[in-house]
Amino acid sequence: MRRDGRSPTFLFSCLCFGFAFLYVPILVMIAYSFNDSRLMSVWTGFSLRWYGALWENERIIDAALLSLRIAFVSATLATALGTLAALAITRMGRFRGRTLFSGMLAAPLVMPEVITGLSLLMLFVTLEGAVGWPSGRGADTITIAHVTFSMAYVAVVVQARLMGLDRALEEAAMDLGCRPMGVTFDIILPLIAPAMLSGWLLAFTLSLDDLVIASFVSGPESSTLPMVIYSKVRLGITPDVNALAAVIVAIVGIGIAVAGWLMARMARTGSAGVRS
Amino acid sequence: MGRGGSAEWQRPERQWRRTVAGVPYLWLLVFFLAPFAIVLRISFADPLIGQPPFTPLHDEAQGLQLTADNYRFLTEDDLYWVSYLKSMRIALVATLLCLLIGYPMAYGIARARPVWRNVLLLLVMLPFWTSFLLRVYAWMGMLSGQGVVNKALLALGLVDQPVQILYTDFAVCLGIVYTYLPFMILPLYAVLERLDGDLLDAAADLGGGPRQAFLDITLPLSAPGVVAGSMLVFIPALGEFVIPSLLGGLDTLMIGRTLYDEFFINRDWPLASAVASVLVLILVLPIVVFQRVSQLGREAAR
Amino acid sequence: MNPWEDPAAEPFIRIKELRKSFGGVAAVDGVSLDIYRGELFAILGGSGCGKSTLLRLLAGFEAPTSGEVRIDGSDMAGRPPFERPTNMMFQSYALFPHYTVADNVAYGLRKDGLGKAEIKERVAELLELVQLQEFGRRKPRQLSGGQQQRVALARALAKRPKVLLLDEPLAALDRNLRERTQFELMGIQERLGITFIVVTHDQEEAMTLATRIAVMDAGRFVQVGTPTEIYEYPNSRFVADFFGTINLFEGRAEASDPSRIICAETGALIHVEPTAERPLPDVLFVAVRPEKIRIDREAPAEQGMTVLRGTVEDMAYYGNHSVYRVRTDQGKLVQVSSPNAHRSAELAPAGNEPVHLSWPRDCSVVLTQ
Ligand SMILES: Nc1ncnc2c1ncn2[C@@H]1O[C@H](COP(=O)(O)OP(=O)(O)OP(=O)(O)O)[C@@H](O)[C@H]1O
Ligand SMILES: [Mg+2]
Repeated sequence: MRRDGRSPTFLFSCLCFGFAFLYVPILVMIAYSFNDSRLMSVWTGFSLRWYGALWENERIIDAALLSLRIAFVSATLATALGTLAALAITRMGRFRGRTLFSGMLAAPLVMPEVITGLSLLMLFVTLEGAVGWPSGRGADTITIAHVTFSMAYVAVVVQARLMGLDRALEEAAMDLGCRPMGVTFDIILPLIAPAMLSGWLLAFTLSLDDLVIASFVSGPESSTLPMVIYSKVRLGITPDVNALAAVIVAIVGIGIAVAGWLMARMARTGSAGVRS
Repeated sequence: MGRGGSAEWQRPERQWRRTVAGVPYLWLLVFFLAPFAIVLRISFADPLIGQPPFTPLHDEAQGLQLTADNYRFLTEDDLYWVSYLKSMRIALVATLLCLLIGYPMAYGIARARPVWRNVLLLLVMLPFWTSFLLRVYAWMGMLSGQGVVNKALLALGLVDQPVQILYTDFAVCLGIVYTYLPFMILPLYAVLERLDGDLLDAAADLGGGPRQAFLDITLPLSAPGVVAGSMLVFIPALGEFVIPSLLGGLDTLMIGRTLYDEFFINRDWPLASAVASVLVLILVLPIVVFQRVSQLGREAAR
Repeated sequence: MNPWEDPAAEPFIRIKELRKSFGGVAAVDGVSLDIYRGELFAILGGSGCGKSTLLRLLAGFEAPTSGEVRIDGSDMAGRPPFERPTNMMFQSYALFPHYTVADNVAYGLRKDGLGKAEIKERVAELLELVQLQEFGRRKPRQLSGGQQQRVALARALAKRPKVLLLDEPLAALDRNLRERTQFELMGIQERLGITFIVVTHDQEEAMTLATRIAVMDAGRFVQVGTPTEIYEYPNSRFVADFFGTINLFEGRAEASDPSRIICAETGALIHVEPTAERPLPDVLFVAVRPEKIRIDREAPAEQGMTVLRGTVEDMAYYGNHSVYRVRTDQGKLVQVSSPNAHRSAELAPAGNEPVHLSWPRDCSVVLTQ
């Protein structure tokens, strides 16, 4: 901290304050998941009863399973589509409608969720009226909606990696007798695999996290986890949600540790094709 | 395609190229563009009790049925004006607060020792990976009458009795700042980290001291990051629904929430569509600014 | 007789009026060239003059705006890189980071659909050729720069191309390694008999390596010739300047005797070989290499020599030779490189000593552009 425009102590206290701001609410929430009392106002002792309640709450468990299923399928599809889109933008030169394409690809990043949700619902309703598909709404329509907005995020991540890839690698492969399609599979895909994994994780998280869009395009039988949580917490504090939060934070923590380890390993074996 | 783009031999590869671009293209046309067109058209229809709850756009007898009633209603009923304005005000205040907290943090991280930087960055991003909804919920507990914040205020003797924080505009602002802070810090960090330390040394060397160097060099050069970060906070905050509905009071009429209620409670699809269309229109300007800035940033990075 | 001097010889690569422009700006601007089988041809030029673009046109990465390329008799128009009898060694090496060294070398063979056993044998052969037998299992990043360069060479040679294109193959190596590799490259080229086209911006490298050199400037060839031709008989000030140091005198020929040239700035008389037929323009240049100039205390006895008198301004000792900078009495600075044939330094002129510079007329090169 040598070249500070301001004094280091000032920056240091800013950092401390900022991180406290970011983490104290989460820690308090987790702490109260161990409170025996139903109320948040008093601490009546340590207890795991809310975790027990959570485990027995079939509605939450079902919703969580549904959310995971949707997140898995939509992240996988979004990764495939987002990678294709990134390839199209960075490797396919000019094609008709390219401007429209890149516009449509970027727009979901900044579109308010209420609008995405509303417009997709109207599409589904119109389609159902016109061609009879999708009949009713449920997990499938939520999956489609999640693919649509998360593929944009995947495309951004993959595109950044593609732009950093040395084009000479692809030319070298072609020079040695490989056709363009083969180049994609031999050279490009292995080298962007880490970015695709990050994109997948991002899409997975976005899908798990989404409340608004899912609320619009879900049917009566398909409540995702955020929808169930929302219906519980809009009426106030409920300690089993605190327990759920603690569980999620724990899972995410472990997940990030594993992903970080995996990615560090992949980076060690696969990033030499990137210009620094 | 830059190098090798126009070569004729690419013809046999057309099929492959068509698949790569065509599949995501088609998906976006069907599931992103078409829905907008539909929203736009429904916004010109009349509401109807039934399923779907709006008049058909095509009538065998009368041809195309368009009505501007919904838009007229938007201008007549104060509810919508107030919602749009309040959304903008809250989003703006929250963006400024984010900047105020985020800038020193980003600066601090950029100037930290390299070993620390990645750890600090990870700490900034970590909350993002946990549930958004639950992070907002966390503030419900923090801000409630018996919550940690009020307890702290009482203990410090700043207030005599619990104050109402939850269900106010302030709580909404706080929630937005809390959830969107990482989006402010990351682009700021990206520009600040790239700033050449030698440049600052040189400026400090030429007199004026570190404060002047900060004002003359760091601040102007980090402008792209400030704009990018502000847009990344402002744009989603404007259409935010979850935060005002959980932390806001009944009078915290943000437009996302109004739209949601219009749709789910009043079941007025055409009017909701009109609200959405206007919101898109409002968002176009900041989005264009954002695109320009990020494009400039990409070019500068090259 | 060298093939390029033989009018009956069939060129192996024929480039005709080749042109490539990017958005209206010509990177390669009407290049014509014949290259013969087994040549090690160097293309030399400053940064941005279009060398890489020319090579990429040959490899098929760029489609020409106009013009023609024929390799071994067949027209390359519309032929993609993966169907050309050329292989390229990239400046950045472009080794596939996710493949081992052996897999990198084997890549082209696999694409040709060769059998496993044959590929294995060929890869072993190639790794031996570049002396990397022990490194087949490593990833490229675990190799040094020089080793990576040799993997790239082995990979480009694997398919036994008719033509090997090398884009600044040695640029990334340090000086010592570069000199050693130059000879290795020549050895390999001679052994395999493959035609090499090497792009470089290092004139020494071009001189050591090449059978012939093309000097390129702004998308065009300024001169094509053997290293000796280019060094001793540059056809323009650009080429003369590009290759080593040279002393240039601006002047005009005497009307009565065009082998006598009067220096414009100094009025000194310079003798040149009597030129034939064509009339000389009013303004021309005489170029003399520093090592062609003799430096003596006394005026030389021979007739027909150009003699200039001057004073030594400074001198640099390089061991095998010394470089003098001499200010002539007319005020022009001339650089002279003189071999240190004697051990004693006393024999050599020293600073501020008056000296005579002289050179025979056949060492004066007359340049008209
Ligand atoms: N894809 C391209 N688009 C536009 N201009 C290009 C492209 N490729 C090359 N050029 C331009 O063509 C000219 C020649 O470039 P080229 O790469 O052939 O130079 P070079 O002689 O290889 O230079 P260097 O020694 O620096 O490698 C340059 O002015 C360059 O800017
Ligand atoms: Mg080049």
